Formats: sequence, C-alpha cells, structure tokens
Amino acid sequence: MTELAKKTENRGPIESAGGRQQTLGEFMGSWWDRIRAGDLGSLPIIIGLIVIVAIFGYLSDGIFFKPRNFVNLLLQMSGITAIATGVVFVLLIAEIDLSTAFVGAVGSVTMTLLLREGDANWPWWAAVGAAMLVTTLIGLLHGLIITRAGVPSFVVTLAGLLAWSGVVLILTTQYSQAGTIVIQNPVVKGVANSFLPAFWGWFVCVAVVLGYAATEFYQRAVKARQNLAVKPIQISLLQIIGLALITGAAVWYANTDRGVPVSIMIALVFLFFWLFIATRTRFGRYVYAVGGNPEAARRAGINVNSIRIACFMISSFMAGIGGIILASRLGSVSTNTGGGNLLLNSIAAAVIGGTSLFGGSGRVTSALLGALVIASVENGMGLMGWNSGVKFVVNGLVLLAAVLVDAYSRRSRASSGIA
Amino acid sequence: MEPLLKVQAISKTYGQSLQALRQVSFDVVPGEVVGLAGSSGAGKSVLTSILAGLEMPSKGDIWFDGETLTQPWNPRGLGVEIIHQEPELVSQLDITTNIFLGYELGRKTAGNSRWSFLPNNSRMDRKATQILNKIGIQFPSLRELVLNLPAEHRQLLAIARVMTRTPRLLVIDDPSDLLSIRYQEKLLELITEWRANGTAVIFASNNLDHLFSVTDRVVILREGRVAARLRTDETTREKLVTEMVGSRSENLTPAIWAMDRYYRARQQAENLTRQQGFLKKDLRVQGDLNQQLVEELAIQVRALDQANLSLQDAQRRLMTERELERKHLAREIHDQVIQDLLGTNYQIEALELSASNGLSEQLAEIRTDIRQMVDDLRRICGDLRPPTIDSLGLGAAINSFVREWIDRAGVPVELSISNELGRLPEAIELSVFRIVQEGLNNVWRHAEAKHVHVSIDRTSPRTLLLTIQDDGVGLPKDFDLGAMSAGGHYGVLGISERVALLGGRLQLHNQPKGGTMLQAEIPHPRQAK
Repeated sequence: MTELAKKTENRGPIESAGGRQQTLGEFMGSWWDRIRAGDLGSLPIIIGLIVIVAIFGYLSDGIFFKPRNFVNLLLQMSGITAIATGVVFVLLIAEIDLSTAFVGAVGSVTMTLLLREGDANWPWWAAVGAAMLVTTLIGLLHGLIITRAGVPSFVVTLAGLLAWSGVVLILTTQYSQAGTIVIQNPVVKGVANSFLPAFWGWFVCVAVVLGYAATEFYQRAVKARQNLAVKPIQISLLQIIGLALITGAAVWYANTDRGVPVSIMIALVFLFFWLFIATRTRFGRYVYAVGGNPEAARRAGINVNSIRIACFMISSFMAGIGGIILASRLGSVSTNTGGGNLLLNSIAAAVIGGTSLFGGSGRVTSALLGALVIASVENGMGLMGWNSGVKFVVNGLVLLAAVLVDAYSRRSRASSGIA
Repeated sequence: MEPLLKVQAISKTYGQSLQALRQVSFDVVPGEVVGLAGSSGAGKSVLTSILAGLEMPSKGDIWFDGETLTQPWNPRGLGVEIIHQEPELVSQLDITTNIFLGYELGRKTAGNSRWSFLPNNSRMDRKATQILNKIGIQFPSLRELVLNLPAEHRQLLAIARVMTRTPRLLVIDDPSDLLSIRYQEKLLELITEWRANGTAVIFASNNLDHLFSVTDRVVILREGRVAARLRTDETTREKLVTEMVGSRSENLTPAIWAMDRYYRARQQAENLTRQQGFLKKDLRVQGDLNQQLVEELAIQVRALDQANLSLQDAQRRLMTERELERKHLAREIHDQVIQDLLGTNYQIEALELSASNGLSEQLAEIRTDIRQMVDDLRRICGDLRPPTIDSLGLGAAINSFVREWIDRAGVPVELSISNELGRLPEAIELSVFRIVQEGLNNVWRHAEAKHVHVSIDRTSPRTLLLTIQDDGVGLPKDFDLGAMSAGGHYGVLGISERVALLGGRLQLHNQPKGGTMLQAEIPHPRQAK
C-alpha cells in the first residue's frame, strides 16, 4: 500500500480531519518528515548564507560585519533583486530571458537621455515612466515573437541580448563622446543614494511585522472556521517574533550607519507586489499552470500565449526597475551599462533562491534570498580584493552548489513520493 | 427542439491520404445523451478532439447554439466541457487549484465573476469537497499536489472539474479505462443527472452496457463515416455491433460475445483484485493468528502429501505383491496342475489303447476335454502372468498377448513396437503390459471396433509412449474419469492409477475421425546397456 493510500485510509473525510489545532509535536514531526523526504524549502539557502557570511566575516577580520558594509550589501543587492524578481516569472513558465540586463540598460539609458538638462529635460517621473514603458514594450515584443513565431525564448532573448546591447552602445555614444552620460536629476540620483531616516526605518519595520501578524491570524481564523487543521499557535508566534527580530535587527543595524537604503525598499515593494500577484491572484495560478503543464492549462481554457507574453513583460519591466536602480547607484549610464556579469547574476539569483529551471515551481521570494547570497559573495570577495578570475570561479561554484542541492532534494522527493 | 450542437459534414484528412473522418454529420439537443460508438480506428477520438478544439477539421462546419465555430475555439468559453480519455492536470498544483483551474471562484459577496481575479481558496475548497463527496472520493488534504495522486484519482479530478458548473454541452471521450467499476457507475449516474439538468452529452464509448444504460441515441462510426444512427430504445446489442463491425455474417455473435466477455472479465478481475486486497488487509490485521493458521495449514498439507505418498507407495507395493502372487499362482498352475493333467492325459491315452471300442471313444472325449482344460489353464496362466515377459521381455509378451487376443476377439490389431525397447525394470514392464491388456479388453467390451492400433514408442531416451487407437464408438459424451469407479468400471481407472503410480501422464479422448485414443507417457530409469 502506498503512503498516500495509508493516509487516505487512516483519516476520515476532510471535515473530520481538521477542526483542531495541531500540537507542537505533530507540527514539528511533519516538518521533520518533510525535511527528511527532501522537501528542504529555504533551509539549504539559509544554511549556505550563514556559511558564506561566517567565511567572509572571518577572512575579512570582521569588516564584513561592520554596519557600513551591511548597508553597502543592501545597496548592492537591490538591483539584482529587482531583475531576479522578473526572471522568476519567466523561469516559472519554463522559459528563459537572457536579455534582462541590456533591456534594463536600455531603460536606464532612455531615462537618462530624457532627463538631460538643456535637451529633453523631462521631469523625473515622466522620464522614469517612459523608461518603464519602453522596457515593458520590449518585453511585449519578445513575448509576441516567441508565441507567434513559436521560436524558443532562448534564441529570441539571445538575439535581444545582442540587439539591445547594440542599442545601448548606439544611444550612449551618440549623445556623448566619452560614452558616459551623467544623471543630474536629484530624485533619480537619490534612489540609490538616499536612506530612510531612522524613524521611517522603524516605521516600515513595525508595519511589516504587524501586517504579517495580521494576515497570519486572519488565515488562522479562516482555517478554524472551516474546520481545517491549524498549525500550533506557538509556531505562528515564533514566526512573527522571528520576523520581528530579523527585520528589527536589520533596521537597527542599518540605522547605526546611514539608515535603510531607499533602493532596497523599492526592490522589496515590487517583490512583495509580485509575490502577491503570484500567490493570491488568478493570473499567478495561471503562470504556475502554464509552467507546470501547458497542455492542461490550454484545455482548462487558459490563454496560454497571453500568460507567456505577460511573463516576458514582467521580466522586462522588472529589468527596467533594476536598470534604473543600478544607474542611479553609479550616477551615470555608459557603454558598459548592463554588461559584465549582471545578467548571469540575476538569473543565478533566481535559481539559487530555489526556482526550478523546468517551470512550474519556485517562489518569488527566492529572488530576494538568491540576490542576498550573490551580493554577499560579491561583497565579501570585493572586501578581500580578489581578482575577477577568482570571483567568477567562486560565483560559478556557488551556483553549482545551489543547483546540486536542488537536484538532490528533487531526487529524494521523487523517491519518497512527495514530489 | 433546436439542436445545441450541429456537426455538418466534417472531414479530417491527415497528410495526403489518411482520411480519419469523412462527411460526419449529427446533432445534439439539450438534455439528450448521444452515444458515439465505433471500433478503434473508426474516428471516435479524432471527432472528440475536434469537438474539444484540440484539432481542426479539414472540411465542414460545427454550429454551436446557432453560430458557426471558427477553429480553434475555446470550448470552456462556450460552456462546453470535455472529459478526455486521459486527464491533463497540472501536477505541481494542488487538488482544489486543478479542479477550478480556468474557472476560479472569487469572493462570495461579489457573486459575479468580477472578483475572480482574486480567487477565494476557502470558498473553492468548500465547493471542491462537495463535488468530491458527490463523486464518492475523499482526500486527506485538498492541498495535496496532483503529482502524488494515482491515475484514477486524476481522472476523477478531471470529472470534478466538469462539475464546477453546469455545462451546456459535455463531451466525454470514454474515460473508463482509468476508472474502476465503482467510479464508472458513478460516471453513468452523473451523466443521467446532467441530462436531467438539460446538458447535452456526447458520450463516446464501446462498452455496450454503458451505451445502453445512459444514451438516447447512438451514432455509430465506421471507417470515418457515420455508419448508422440508432435510437437506443429501439435497437438491440446485435444491431449495434453489426453496425460497428460492419458485416452481417455469423461472426457477429462472437464479436458481441467477445466485447461482453472483455468488459465482464475486466469487472471480474477488478473484483478479484479488490478481494485480494481485502484478503491481504485481513491477513495483515489478523497478523500472527492467521500466520499461525497458515503455517498449521502448511504442516497439514505437508502431512497430507506424505500420507498420499505413502498411500501410493502402499498401492505400488500392493500391486507388486499382487503381481508376485499371480506369478506364483501361474507357476503353481503351470508346474503342478497342468503337469498333473498332462500326466493324467498320458495315462488315459495308455488306457485307451487297451480299452474296448465304446470306452475308448469316451476316453478320447475325456482326453479332448482335458486338452481343452489345459489350454484354458494355459490362457489363465498367461493372463495371470505373461509367460514370456520374464524371459523374453515386454515386446515379446505383448506380441503373444495380442496374437491371442485377436483369436479371441476376432478384431484385427496392428501392432508396432519400437525396436529399441530393450528390457525395462520389471514393475514398468508389467504395468505396461497390464495397461495394454486392460486397454484391449476395454476395446473388446465397449468399442465395437473394426480395427485396433497398438504402438509402443520412445519419445525420448527416458520415456515411453504407449498408444491404443480404435475406430469404434468412442467415449460417451459425459465421460468422466472420476465417475467411473462409482459405476463399477475399474478398467480405465486401473490404467490411470497404474500410469499415475509410474509418474506418467494419461490422455484419453475421442479422435476426430471417430473412435478412442488412449495415450500413456511413462517415464523410466536409465536403461542398462
């Protein structure tokens, strides 16, 4: 008899199964069962993060732990987090977007050109809006070509990578001999160079914790009303307190230096927006359905192609956000914008965070965790002054480790029948 | 009533020459169940996938609710639901999400679909539980991912999906391959219910029981064409199958028979599996006790085996003893009685010379009687113990017995004995001899044969094949070896016992040309050269 059949047999109808609070022991037991069966969730990445932080903290004689470096880390990761959030959607439908870095660059260059004093001189919001419109339309273009012509997204976005890098080159060299255009608008410059005052930092922290606690208790109430099994109250409290401690510590630590960077707040606002879209809306369900089994989605009456186009638009949109954050941080755009390992880092962040490359499974929050890992490694290696060869090798190894952990947990899940 | 669906002269061609559908037309009105039957390759599946919007017809139109459909359409948008032969579900999503995929429920207050872009999980869970209860299945958690479910449960989810709202048209492409009998019956119940609610149902199936229990009409496809349209009330299984198979030959009955047999066999197999499952469960539940019982049973079976073996042994010994006794008796008669009688005969002969005429005539008569007696006694001796078997072997013994039998029975016997027969252990030689004896006596008594054929061959270096064929009346129709002893006929029974004791195999059957054939295959130990 299979595990499932046993479960079915032992428990009665759904109504009689719940209607009560699980005990702490039961909850921990089932959690441990899941872990043992290979359903590791975010556990490996958190352990990996602790290991990375410990190593660089030790190697850098504690400089890594200084508040100043912590704020730098937050600044570094905000751009990647934004881009990776978009990449997650494309990975969820089992596609890939190789053009994100340069699409983001096209966005930031567009914005910069529209802001040029004495030339276009648009207000900052109009320039940013135009840049976002451009990137989103680029995503639409990619999506249309991929769905209408039936060309693999790999090829289309690879072409996009080349073409959009060319566009960046053309635009930057046309308006500047040196190929570097400085951003003068204070608002846009402020995106990555201003920080929340201490009070607002704490305000955000309290708001997030209270918001989380409210949804948690609301869900408990709903489940209890419907006689579904409710997890132990201790766990809920523990989760709330844990979140409070982590965000509180982060805000406090950032406040001892310059404060919480505005850029990470922007990235997080978008991240939580897309998290809501992915988990709570019908569109989010359809994204998972299309990624999991396109044929089933089609037969269920879902317009598969429009979902795919929308995902490419989200990817390009978030690339635009990321591009603007990164440009703001540098204070300029240049022929190099969007180059380097930005693309690979953003895709790696999504994958390291636990989004499957085969579609249908993964969380939007994986962009945040993955970006944290990538940024920590980059930051730590920067502190150590390692040359770029070593950096690439280490980055590659981290990515490989993440994929291996994923493959391992997938296999043990398969053998234990969970997935 | 206006037809809800009108299929007009649809053709489907694959490549240049493969015509899957030719000019298929039919229509369905609301609240009607139309069966779609046809043997495999008739185009049922192609037709259903065209109706499901998965494929486009090469020619022809489909009208739905008075409007012609332009391919490819989205059936669910029109209120058309499909149950496919094999379900397509998103395995990474949970049960509720799959059931409501494409038709999520929003907040309750909205009532309409305005809020459905924010699906309300708890509302959907409640409705899913209702639907699943109605189908008759319960899951421990609706959050279970579909990839952990067996195929049957997935198919049930595909059915549950259809039940999230009342469809206007339902196309069912026989899903029963994945369903156990219990859920097949459930599906039929649901079809009846849909019909009562005014849904038009197209039900593709080859299961006659299913077609006859729910359909109003049956459209039969054969080689891509509509072969017939039958009203279910006015037709018969034979008619339906005739149209499906497309011939009126006598082969029809076997076709129905085969179809019914197939479905019935499946049902039986399923019952058996279920019972086996129960049995296994019981065994596990009763645990030690049953284990003990089973072990005890095994011991008793072993004891029985042993008893059986010793019984065989005893019988073998008995037979040997009997043969020994006969041998003894035969020798006694031969050496004593016959010799004495011959001596008496000589004495009478001597007396005859000196006797008067009248007396000598009487004496001659007595002598003839005595010679007759001696002959009879010799024959009895021969029956008791073939005189040649000890000295000359099986072949010679059978030879002389058969020759004598021909004289007695007056039926010609063709005898062929393999040259390589050689000498065999005494028990085997005697048994074979007795089988021949008994077999020929049976032929004499019952067969009324004109001709008999006896042969002894080697089928392998270690086996002997004895065949006795006759051209007589053959075995009676109700011939049953087990019943023979009750009727006091020990002949064949004796043969079968002897063969069994030697570890051989006995076949007894009528020949196609008439008459009986007895074949005994008897193993024997390696022969000494």
